[in-house]
Amino acid sequence: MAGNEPFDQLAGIPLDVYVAAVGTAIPAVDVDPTGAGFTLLGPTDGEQSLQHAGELTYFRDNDYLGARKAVRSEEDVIYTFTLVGLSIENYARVLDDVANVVSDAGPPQTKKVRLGRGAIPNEYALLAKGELLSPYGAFPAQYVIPRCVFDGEPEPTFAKDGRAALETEVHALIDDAQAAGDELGWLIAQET
Amino acid sequence: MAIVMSLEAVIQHLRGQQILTDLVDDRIAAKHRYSDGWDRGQTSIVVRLDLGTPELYVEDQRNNLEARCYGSSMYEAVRMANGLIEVTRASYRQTVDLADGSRALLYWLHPVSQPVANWDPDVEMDFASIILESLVAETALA
Repeated sequence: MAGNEPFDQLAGIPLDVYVAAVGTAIPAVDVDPTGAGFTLLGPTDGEQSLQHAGELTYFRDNDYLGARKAVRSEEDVIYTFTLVGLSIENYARVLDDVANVVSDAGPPQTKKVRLGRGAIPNEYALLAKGELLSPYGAFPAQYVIPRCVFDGEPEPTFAKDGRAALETEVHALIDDAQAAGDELGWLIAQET
Repeated sequence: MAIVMSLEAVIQHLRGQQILTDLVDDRIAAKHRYSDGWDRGQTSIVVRLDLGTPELYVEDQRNNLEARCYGSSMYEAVRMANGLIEVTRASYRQTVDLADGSRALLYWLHPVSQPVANWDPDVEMDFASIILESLVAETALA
């Protein structure tokens, strides 16, 4: 029997990662983010994952064996991917800030980025968008993290038979400029 | 835009290496031509696609290639194979001119096996076979 149910299996979907300054207006799901102030971060390799972290603490009393109450005392949203497009600009964004790229007309013409990351990380708004990510049909969907930092300890490795990459971990921060409930981000999918 | 032919990129790259042309002249191809221009007994390198690992996420072609190094004797065949190995030691991030005027980027070409001695009954010649791995960008360079 025909239907759209197979779409709700999110199989075979690569996501494109876009970044912008915190506070940049989040584009609608059917809008190209590059036309809305977001920069495509570059090609990625392998799996991407989004973790909804935060364990529950259970409270019990003497009347029952089971737990009476569950509370989540803290939570995190962590998005990981492997970036293989290692332009100096992308490298700078993941380390800290593209503003750290220094160009020199030379000759030779060069670009330079410092390897140190500094004590206070630069903050970004991030979209992870799939043009066919929607579980309702062949439509786009995007994860929006309005305020985040690049965490992790990337370790690009150079080998004769390998591709250097930056293992990237994005850690959401509370953005209290967003609507209540959206402070750590949201997933929005086009339905029709 | 058409995907760059990785086999062509590898063959054109090898044809540009003097180490090899000193050994085989221009007899580097995707099929042998011993009944069609090449004399039996002349050295040659024949390169054919031989599976590989598909790149699902990045627009590169990662191919295994079998390189058959033909010679008038097994000694000659292994001498061709050693020349090929020597070339692969410097075959990293090389630009290659293709027949249609475009340029390919060959990220790497290196052996994934040691030479295997063999005899080709069709052309009645010794050959040494090496499996190579190539990584070629699918998009031609600007």
